[in-house]
Amino acid sequence: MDHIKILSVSKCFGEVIAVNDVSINIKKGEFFSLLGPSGCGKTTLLRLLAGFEMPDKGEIIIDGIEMNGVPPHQRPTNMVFQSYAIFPHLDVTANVAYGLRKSGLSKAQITQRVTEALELVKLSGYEARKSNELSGGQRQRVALARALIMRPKVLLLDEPLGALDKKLREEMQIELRTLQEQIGITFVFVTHDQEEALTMSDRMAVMGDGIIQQVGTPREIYEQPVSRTVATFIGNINLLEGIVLSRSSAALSVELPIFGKVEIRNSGPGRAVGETVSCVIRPENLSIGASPTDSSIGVILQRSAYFGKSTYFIVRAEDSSIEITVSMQNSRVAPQAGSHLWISWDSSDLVILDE
Amino acid sequence: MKNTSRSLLVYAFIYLGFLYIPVLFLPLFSFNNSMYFSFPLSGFTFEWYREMFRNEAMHQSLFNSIRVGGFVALFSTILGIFGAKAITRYRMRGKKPVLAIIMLPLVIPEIIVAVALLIFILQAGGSLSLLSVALGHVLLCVPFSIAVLISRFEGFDQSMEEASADLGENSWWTFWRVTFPVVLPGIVASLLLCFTISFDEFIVAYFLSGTEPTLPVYMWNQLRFPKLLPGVLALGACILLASFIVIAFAEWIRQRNNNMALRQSLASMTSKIR
Ligand SMILES: Nc1ncnc2c1ncn2[C@@H]1O[C@H](COP(=O)(O)OP(=O)(O)OP(=O)(O)O)[C@@H](O)[C@H]1O
Ligand SMILES: [Mg+2]
Repeated sequence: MDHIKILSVSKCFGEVIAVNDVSINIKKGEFFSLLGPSGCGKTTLLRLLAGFEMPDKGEIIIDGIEMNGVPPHQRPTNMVFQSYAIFPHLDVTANVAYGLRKSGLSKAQITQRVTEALELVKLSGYEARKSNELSGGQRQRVALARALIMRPKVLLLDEPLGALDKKLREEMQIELRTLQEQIGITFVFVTHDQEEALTMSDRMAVMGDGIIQQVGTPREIYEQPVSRTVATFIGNINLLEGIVLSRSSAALSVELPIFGKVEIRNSGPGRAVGETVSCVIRPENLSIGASPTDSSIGVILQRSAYFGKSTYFIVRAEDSSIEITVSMQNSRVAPQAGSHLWISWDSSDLVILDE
Repeated sequence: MKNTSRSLLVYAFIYLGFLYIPVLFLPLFSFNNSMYFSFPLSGFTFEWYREMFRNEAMHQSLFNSIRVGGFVALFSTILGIFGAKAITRYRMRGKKPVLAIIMLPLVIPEIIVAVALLIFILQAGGSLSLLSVALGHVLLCVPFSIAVLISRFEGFDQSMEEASADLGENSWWTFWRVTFPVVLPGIVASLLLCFTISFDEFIVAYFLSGTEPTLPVYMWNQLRFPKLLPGVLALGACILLASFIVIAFAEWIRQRNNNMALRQSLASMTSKIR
């Protein structure tokens, strides 16, 4: 069942169209990420879900209830803000218990709930701290506990890990994911970090300029990008323009620079012979070697970049100035720039973009 | 290097002396047993303080000033809260011109404001009273109140109010549980500032006070009767002492809070190390 339905929602700020005709369905209990570059409208979309902004067009349905005109304090959602928004005049306990004023719970019950919430986010023992006595990661946990204690149906998170250092961030990614599986509520998670979105989500949406570019599982998004924006935003990718030579129902035969004539699975809209198409292939789907194999092509190494667990080789064909990137893990060779190498690939890894 | 710091020190002393020595004449002459302010001092007396306690009219004017000051502080600060919140929180048309008009009394000479108000009140058929003084003072104080409060409102993260709404509170409760406590230091500052401005404001009070003088107006009237003047000096000395105590107390509270925050952060640091 669809837990959240966003139906053709648009939101403008003066001239700026922050969210442009967005439609997404999010399932119950799903970890759903919104990914996109800065200023693409992720926060605005989240604020539309939380009720801080009302859509100019379209509607939002959460848990079967139409949300247009429903103010934030009456929605079954809670939010973890990018700045955490911890109340500075209250200690951790009072912050976490903030939303329980009208709950009708006794003092003892509230204390109990606070204790549970703090245990959930691994912050027991910090009850009496003020917000200025907490580290970034601890503040983030307080914000999380404060939202979770409300037992929301949907938790909205706006780049909650953005302010943390890399190591803490990776720890929190795992913890957050574990927590979500443990409590089983729907998470809508905003991030501009593609790796974060890929590792954490059940499904994700890639946004660009207020428009949803693609919705799918991380694997679909990574392996089958539909547009240039998605392909280039997620990870490193080689983009090549080719011309369709012939077509069958299952495959297109395309003439590409460097690669020559290749057969590519035909998944998108119909393509005419002679049309120009954009093809992409990930650097890690290419392999590189010092000697030719039966299906390899000779290239010249331009430069290489070492990244620890992998090395990127930027190469070009002898008769072309187009460069492509190949990545290799644990490469033992350290060839000189200008040396002749051989690349090979599996044509099933080549993807034709829809646009 | 040493020379510059010494000359700076000398400068600071001259500066402070210039500021405060005239003020110190007030308590000095209030203990002098002569009606005339001249050296050498003729002798020590508590007479003027006794006189001050006997002078009913002076008490009345002091009381008037306190009442007007209290009203002005409260009223201007409430208006200031509304104004500052609207200016910092809402998108609206014509915000800049409205703000400019509110701030105008800061740059208009007070005498103009006073005369204008006098004409207006008399034309409108109103009568001069402490209320008219208070309303005039509110006009003068609101810009100060707004200026103090805007910086406080701007300085705090708006998403805290949104977080409160998100956690189920409507805007009224959000104001009481989040906005008010966070801007409280600004509110206290505004109350004190407005009270002080009203308490020693003379021109508007002189024009609008009718038969009930505020303290500055009363003092000014006394200047014509040398016999009564030393009593005014005694009162001035008392007010000076009172302001000194209030300021020292406020500073002590601030220091104590700072120390507390410091001690707490030290404690949290040591607990982390352990
Ligand atoms: N209150 C507002 N008034 C005017 N314009 C706004 C407002 N909020 C957002 N915008 C504009 O809408 C667009 C989308 O903003 P949004 O905050 O949703 O981006 P974002 O994807 O969250 O970016 P980031 O990753 O930097 O947080 C931006 O161009 C922004 O300038
Ligand atoms: Mg954002």
